[in-house]
Amino acid sequence: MNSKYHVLTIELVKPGTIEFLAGQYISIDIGDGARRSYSIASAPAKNYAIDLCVDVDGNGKGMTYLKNLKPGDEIKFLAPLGRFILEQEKKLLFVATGCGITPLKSMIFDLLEEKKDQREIWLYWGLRYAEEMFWEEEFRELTEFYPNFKFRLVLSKPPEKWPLASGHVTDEIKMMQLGSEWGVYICGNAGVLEDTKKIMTEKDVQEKQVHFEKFS
Amino acid sequence: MAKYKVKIIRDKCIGAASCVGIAPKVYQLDDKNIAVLVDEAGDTPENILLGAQSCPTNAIEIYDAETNEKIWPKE
Repeated sequence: MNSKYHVLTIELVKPGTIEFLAGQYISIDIGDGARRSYSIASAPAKNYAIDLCVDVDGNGKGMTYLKNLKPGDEIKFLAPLGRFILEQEKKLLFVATGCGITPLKSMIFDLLEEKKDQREIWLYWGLRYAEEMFWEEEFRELTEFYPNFKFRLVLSKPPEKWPLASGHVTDEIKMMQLGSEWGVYICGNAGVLEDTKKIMTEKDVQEKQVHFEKFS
Repeated sequence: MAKYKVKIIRDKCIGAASCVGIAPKVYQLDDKNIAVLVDEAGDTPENILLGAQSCPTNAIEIYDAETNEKIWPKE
């Protein structure tokens, strides 16, 4: 997608399909007795393949393994795993930074495109630079088809004269009118996770309605 | 005698519950959503090991019960 984020599609061979819940993850065997976990970006309706998003800015083992895969290579993974899944709150707020968007994308597309969910749904997604942007068109298209979905992309290091939101996602969330009817789903860096949890306490969102995943 | 000894590193657990999904008679989450060991011999050795291998933070360590050799994680 760009120099920082790559999106990978894994086509399933054996078994040829998978059932999972939006928000779940897979555990990939990366060789040498090591495994790495990656959230699923695609919605459950796409049951013949799995999309992942990988931050390739670094030299971690998992990232190196995935970055070096060539079309047609076979991989082994365990799935579906995890319980970062949607609950039944009346309104939904999704908060992501970077690749943390991955499980939230699966949830949002599942809610809107498959289930035609009518609840109020907000997505705040923080990236650093404009060059890192990806999937923003897909989310913007959703806002056109589904008026109950609101999307805000927030750049922490925007270019000059950036017309849209800049700063930190938490600054934006602080300004929202939230309350006990909201469910909050967070996936991103540790600072945003802790800050968002704190904001939710101040806004009377119960702890049990704040859901988070510490990796993506 | 169980084939493996299981050690849960509670500080590492993030409550993803993948271990519970694979071997629920061996692993459960407590009221703080942290993994606890229920029965070290509650499932097949393969599932006990798989439950540990599925953990995204390597919060479960597996040792050979006889030799005490560390089986998982390998790194």
